[in-house]
Amino acid sequence: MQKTIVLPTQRELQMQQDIEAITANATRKDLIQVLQAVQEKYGYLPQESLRLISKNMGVSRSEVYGVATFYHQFRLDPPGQYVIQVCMGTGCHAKGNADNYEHLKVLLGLKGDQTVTQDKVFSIEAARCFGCCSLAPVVAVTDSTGEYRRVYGSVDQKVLKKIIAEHREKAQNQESEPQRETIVCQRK
Amino acid sequence: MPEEIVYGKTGFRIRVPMASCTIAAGANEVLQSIQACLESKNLDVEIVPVGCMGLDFIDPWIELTKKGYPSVIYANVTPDMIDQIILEYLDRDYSSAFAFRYENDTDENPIQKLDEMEVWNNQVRWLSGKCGIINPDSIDEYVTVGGYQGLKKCLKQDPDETIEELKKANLRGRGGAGFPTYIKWNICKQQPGEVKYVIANCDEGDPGAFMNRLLAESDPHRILEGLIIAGHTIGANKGFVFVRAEKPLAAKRLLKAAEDAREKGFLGGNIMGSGYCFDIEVFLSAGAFVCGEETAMIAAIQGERANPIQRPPFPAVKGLWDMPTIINNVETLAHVATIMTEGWEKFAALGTEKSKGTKMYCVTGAVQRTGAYEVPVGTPIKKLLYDIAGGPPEGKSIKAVQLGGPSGGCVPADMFDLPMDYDSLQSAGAIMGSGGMVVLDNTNCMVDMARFFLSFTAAESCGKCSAGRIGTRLMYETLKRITNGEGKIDDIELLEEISDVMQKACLCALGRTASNPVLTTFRYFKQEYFDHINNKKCEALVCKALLNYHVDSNKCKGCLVCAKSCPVEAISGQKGTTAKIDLSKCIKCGTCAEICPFDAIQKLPGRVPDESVKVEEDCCK
Ligand SMILES: Cc1cc2nc3c(=O)[nH]c(=O)nc-3n(C[C@H](O)[C@H](O)[C@H](O)COP(=O)(O)O)c2cc1C
Ligand code: FES
Repeated sequence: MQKTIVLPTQRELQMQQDIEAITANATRKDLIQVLQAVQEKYGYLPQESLRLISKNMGVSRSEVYGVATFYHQFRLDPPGQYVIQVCMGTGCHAKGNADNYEHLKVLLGLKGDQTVTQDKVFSIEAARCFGCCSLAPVVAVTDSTGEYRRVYGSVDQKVLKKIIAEHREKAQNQESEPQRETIVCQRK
Repeated sequence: MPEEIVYGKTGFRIRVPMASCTIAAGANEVLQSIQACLESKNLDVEIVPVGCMGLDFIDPWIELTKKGYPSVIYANVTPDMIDQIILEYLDRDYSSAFAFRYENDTDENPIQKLDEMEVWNNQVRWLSGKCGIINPDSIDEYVTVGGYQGLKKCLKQDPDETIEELKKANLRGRGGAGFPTYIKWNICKQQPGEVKYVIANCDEGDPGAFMNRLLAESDPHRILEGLIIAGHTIGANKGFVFVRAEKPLAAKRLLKAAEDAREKGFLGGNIMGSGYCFDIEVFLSAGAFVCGEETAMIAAIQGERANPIQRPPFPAVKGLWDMPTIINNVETLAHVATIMTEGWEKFAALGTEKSKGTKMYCVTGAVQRTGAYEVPVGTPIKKLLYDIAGGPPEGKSIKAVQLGGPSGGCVPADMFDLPMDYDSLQSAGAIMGSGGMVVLDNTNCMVDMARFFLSFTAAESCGKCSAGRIGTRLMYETLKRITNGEGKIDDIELLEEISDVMQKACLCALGRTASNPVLTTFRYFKQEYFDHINNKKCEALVCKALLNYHVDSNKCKGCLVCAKSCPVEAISGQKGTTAKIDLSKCIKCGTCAEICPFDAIQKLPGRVPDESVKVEEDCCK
């Protein structure tokens, strides 16, 4: 009798190692932090990672999936290189951010429920308040891991175009390291 | 203010606000420009990153303070202004300044002192007084301005005395419900058992409110101090600060504050030599509005879906991992720290008979001076919106203010004499909530606002109880129908009926209060519902299905910029003649109206082309 063994791909092996490292010493109460760490690594939660988390932590898959789908922070699909988050809070709604969202879709050529551009440079998300309501309407741009983050206030079509152009250029020169949001403090 | 805080070691300090709001307004670039300028001029100046002082309309501001000079604040600063500002300041020319912080230099200056400005002198900055002055990342500065003195006092006294002082202060929770803090603490203190927990609620899910974020970013140690006092009073050794992921800077500051406090012996084992041990963990929420609810927050910290559970038992009896737990809003905790330091008498002297002290409000939307302001509880709405926030921008008029977020309601302009305390607002159908105030003007449609809030609560409902899950969705669908111009007159009754069921049957306060935005808009703005349903009209020109775009032939020069910009090619015409919009193609995105150099494209009410709109208007009158 012949048996076929499917060998794991390089990527799968890597993921196994990554998840192993993240879930080491984690107990049930750490599930949210584990998911956050995985998302920080991959920019989203790949299905395979959910299976591995469940196996390593001894938590049922339905429970892992239940938590992953409950919270807004978690994505199950890969985002674009830059995620444009349009605030849908009260302050921003009153100042017309719903229109900005529609404009953004038009500017990025997104149709219907589509949220990721064809070239995978941008994806869009509706977000809740960033706490910068006095600058409403507000749009934030992050990279998929959340390391880079920039918040824009008083957004209109012009600003949207600027945001897109700026980040498209960045994406093209993207060989360089992503920038962290830095707060510089100089003491003499 | 101690001199070392005002002038620092070098005798010359430049304060730059580094909070989420000011960074978004460009503070980072300003900071870099200041650094470059100081380097090129070889000046020995200390740049101090501070928090936000709540005057968001002047963001980003900077403050220059040199010994022998007054302390001067400059508003809406851009990087290219820096050189000039520093030169002028050293020249004692303050003509481009916004205000003097403490003293004026000479009498000739037309610039006001902060204390002389309406936006400032109508406030009582009891809690937020240090925001924007001290460096939030420096525990030394917090200690210098009297920080951790309240904790020191509490550690020396019996916890019952602390509770007694809070009772005399009559502090009520600032997280929304206004529950007296001392009662909650007392219940928890009396529970048997060694293991108890305290949680600081910095979730701030109410969109439009940012005072918790502001406090955490500008004066994080005050929150920690309150939390440690809470732990000591009820006998807990472990605390959590629950922060939402959308506010990463607040979490970062709190983490840094906890690290420093540990190093200096305000956290950890044997705090300040008292033998009391307490430590905290900063929990980064993965984001869900319902997490702000106490029992849901407990589930989230345990790593589960944040489903609320039936109360009682209240968390003070059975909470985190089934142990007695108190949960307080961070503003409440900051109040505790301030009360313990300054004395309850001063706190109780402010506010009304039933609600003492001050409350922070975030005023955004249609006002001239948006920001976060602290006033005594019971201050009339009018004073906040007009005296402090400066009223509506020119040419606009305020229609209503939305208070308390998705669980709150809209209060119409003719009720602005209402004092803002827990009970008066409740009687008007709104709630104090966390203190977010979104000011609406005549470009805001009240039916659309109600639809917006229900879309919010429908998306945020945890889905556990049917009344909440189905009720919010049904209400949302109905309101959507009305704003789409497909509403029926029976819909109003239907909405009332659903809201009645939800108020009675929902498991948690999210569902029980979700219909408040609808009920208050019914109460004060019913005509707008009738307009949408009967006349298919949205007076505020917000509801897309009930408006259309029209080219004014008197203004149109036929440049056809609009035609080029239209994403669906709905505009046609020849150069020099009036452009024409094909309404069957138009998606009402508004691009053309925004881009037209002659302001010739307007929104008109009604769902049909312009001629018939006039007919409809006529027959209504
Ligand atoms: C749906 C829902 C959301 C809430 N969100 C918050 C919140 O974001 N921040 C907060 O402090 N309290 C929030 N609360 C109120 C808390 O449940 C709780 O009453 C409060 O944190 C108690 O603190 P306090 O006594 O200091 O006011 C929310 C309540 C509900 C029902
Ligand atoms: S409502 Fe958009 S930032 Fe607060």
